[in-house]
Amino acid sequence: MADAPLAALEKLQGQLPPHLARSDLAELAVLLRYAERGAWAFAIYNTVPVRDEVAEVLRQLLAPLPIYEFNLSTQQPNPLTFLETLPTAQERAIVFFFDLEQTGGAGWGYLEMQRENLAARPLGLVFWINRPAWAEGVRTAPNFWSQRSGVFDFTINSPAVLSEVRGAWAGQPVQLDSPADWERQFRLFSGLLREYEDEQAPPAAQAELHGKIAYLLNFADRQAEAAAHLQQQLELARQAHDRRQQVEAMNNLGWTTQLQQGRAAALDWYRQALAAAGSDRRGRADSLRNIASVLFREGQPAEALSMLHEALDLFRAVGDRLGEANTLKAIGDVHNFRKDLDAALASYAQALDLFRAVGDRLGEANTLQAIGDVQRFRDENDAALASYAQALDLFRAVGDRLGEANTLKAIGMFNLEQNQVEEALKLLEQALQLYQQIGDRVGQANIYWNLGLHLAQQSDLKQAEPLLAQAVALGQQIAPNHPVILHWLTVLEQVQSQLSTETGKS
Amino acid sequence: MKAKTLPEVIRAFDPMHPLTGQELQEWYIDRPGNPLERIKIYLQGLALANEPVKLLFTGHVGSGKSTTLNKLAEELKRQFLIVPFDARQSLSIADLSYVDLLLGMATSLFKRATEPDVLGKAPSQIATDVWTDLTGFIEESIFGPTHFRPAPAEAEASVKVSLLTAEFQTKFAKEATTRDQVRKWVEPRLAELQDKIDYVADLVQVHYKRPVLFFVEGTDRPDLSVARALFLEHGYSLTAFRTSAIYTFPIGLRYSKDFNSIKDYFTETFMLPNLKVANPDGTPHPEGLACLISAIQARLTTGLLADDARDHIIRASGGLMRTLVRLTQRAAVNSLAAGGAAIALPHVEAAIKEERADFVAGLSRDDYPILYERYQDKQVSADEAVLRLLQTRALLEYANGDPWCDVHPIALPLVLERAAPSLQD
Repeated sequence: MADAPLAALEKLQGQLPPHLARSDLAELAVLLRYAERGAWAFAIYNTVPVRDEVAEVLRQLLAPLPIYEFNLSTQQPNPLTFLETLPTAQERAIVFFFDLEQTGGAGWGYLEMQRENLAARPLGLVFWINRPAWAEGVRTAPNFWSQRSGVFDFTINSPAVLSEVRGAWAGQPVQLDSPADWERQFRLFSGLLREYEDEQAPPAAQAELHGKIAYLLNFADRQAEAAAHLQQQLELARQAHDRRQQVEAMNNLGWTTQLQQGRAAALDWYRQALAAAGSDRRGRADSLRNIASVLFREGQPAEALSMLHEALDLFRAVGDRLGEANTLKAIGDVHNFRKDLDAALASYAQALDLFRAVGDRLGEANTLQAIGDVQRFRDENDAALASYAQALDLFRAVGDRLGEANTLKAIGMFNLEQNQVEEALKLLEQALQLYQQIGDRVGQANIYWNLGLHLAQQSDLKQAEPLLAQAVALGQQIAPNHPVILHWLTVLEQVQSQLSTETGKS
Repeated sequence: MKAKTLPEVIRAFDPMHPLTGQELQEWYIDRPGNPLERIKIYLQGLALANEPVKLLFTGHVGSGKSTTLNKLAEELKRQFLIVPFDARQSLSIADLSYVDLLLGMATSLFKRATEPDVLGKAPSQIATDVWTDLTGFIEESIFGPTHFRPAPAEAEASVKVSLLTAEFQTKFAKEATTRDQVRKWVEPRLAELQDKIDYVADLVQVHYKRPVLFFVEGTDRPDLSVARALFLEHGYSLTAFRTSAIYTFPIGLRYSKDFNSIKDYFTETFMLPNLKVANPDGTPHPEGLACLISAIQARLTTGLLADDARDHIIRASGGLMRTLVRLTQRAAVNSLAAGGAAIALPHVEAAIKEERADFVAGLSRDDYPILYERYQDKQVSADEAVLRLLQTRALLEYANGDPWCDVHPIALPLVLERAAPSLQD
């Protein structure tokens, strides 16, 4: 095997699990590698983890050919729509289309109709389908089907292997290290959930998947969908008498509720979770930490701190290093709020070490940003900027837009204070766009407020007034008559009054 | 150029694209019963003598119709202004109507005629008058009340026509509401549309010195019910203009009871026959086999494909050119993936097995007895089930002489295996 992909495959074959080390994998790689004018291939699977494993191996084998992935759905059933978003129509590339089965038949209709358009592109199109979809394709898109180069079989026939592979993947934790991870894991866990539902798998196993999907949806700021999955997780966990999952679902429902309806409603869920946890130390620790976060924000830092220390002991007792790291970060936040900066930095430093040790890049980014805030407060500006820069890189790497926006805002505000207005405006504008994309009104209001205030302080009242007005308007929508918003309103009224006096004078 | 290595075989045997350009010149193979020369006689004898012809061209999906039309276009391009129109690319095949087809053909003609090599040859005043007239026609009689992006006022008249036709084709292909509105608007104005086709075609003939010939592809692909509505109920409209045209036609409809009525609208029907690999009695068909051997040998050098492997591919293809191409490509993939440098029998057998799995997936239990009966009697009939099986290529039709049909060789073992219990009863 002189050819690079083949040589790589040969090397890889020995390392692949038996269910992947099969001739269809090598054959599909060869076809995609050499069909330079493009080819259409169908890859048959009966479990999504294997689909993703094969896709991953192909990515390695076909490098440096660009590989794109698209998920089809009833909302987006047309493959051509995706192809039209590719960088250039004439670039050779491989495109994986997932979930053609989920288009309600419309996907096949588009393929049949648009095959000449598809054939005009030098693309290796791989359609991942299950067996029922195979029969549907042969019948409903006969002409498209007749132009295919081949069908490649990745189904697993042994029920024992199938169950083992599914179980291994369903048990994987959610790990978000890049934006592509989100897509892949959402596809994987959603697909596994469909398979589990079809086969009426035990409720506890289905509940786990609902929980993971909810986590991913929350991360993507799709709280309403996340809440629906968490409710299902809770219901299934109750059926299975799985206390750990019930507590987990309640705590996470608290978090989505907090984002949607505020802290008071969230507190109910957290308290229910604490009650349900009973002697389950990890569940208890999670619930205590969540209750503490609400109390802290409601102005009860002492109570919060005491609960956080209780939670910390529990996490340490069960050896949960991620829980420990998160709690240390929260303790640092309380110290920071009380301006006990040495204690805050000490907690953050411990948290940072733990996040790095467990490989949680998002936790690492959040902690670095908090460290940057403390350093700024202490006027250790170079150190603060260095911490922010590290945090920004990590947020971008994991695709956390809210974290990215918060850090951009922090750096932008720093520049504004240093009177580096042009650089500041650029960063704040980027942050504002991200907040708008996410729909984070608090972030937007803060930026308008800070910009407006800066301009007012520079006596540019005319430019300041509309920004302050926008901040107040958003603030009143989010938290009507909140003391902070009332303060903003007072400042706005002062600016407006001064403006009208100046207008009167002129 | 012939393939010298297996990667080149994978590129040369490409089931996705019909032959064009250099490949058409080097790899095109004539076949027994090829209607190409007879089509040329009609076109050169009648159409060039100002007697337009309307032809139907049929054959199995994957039999080589697009390649044959490419060959025909190549041979006639100095005598005709060929206006290709592909219903698959420009229209929604699922609900294709005769109005869509005429609109697509008309706008393709208008667009082609605006290209500088065509009506640019007319005196400038004539050309400007034509384009101004056409601009008004497209805006008022085609778009009518439908919202569209008008061509910039400052653009030249011919550019306006070109932009408007492009706008129409894009909107019409993509937007279902636009399709509905335009169809309703144009249907009562069809006579005007046909007049405009004739008007522009006449101008092309006068100034470009060549008659217009439409190549309409993709009309063999819709559902049989859609195709029936198109060719039977609106055959008159598809043939009412004075320009010559070739329409691809579904093979399933060729044997339906409706065909006798359909054929009256058209000058002649031509069928691209599948190459015979065997006679009805099962004995080999030397002429067909020789032709298929040539088709393979034209694309690869000797030594890359063992003779027994080649013969196995040919027999399994049933004479369907695209199946032959795909089997060869897949066998090359199989060989290369296994570290081979040439295609041997096991690589072909694996490719055939994969192709057979398609029939397993696509055929229903009720299909097997019907297929077994056709395997026994070889008779083509107008039954719906037979027409459907012809369309899906589980049954293959062989013409060139009395037409007969047979089960696809790759599906045959399945048919024998699954129809056997009822035979023993």
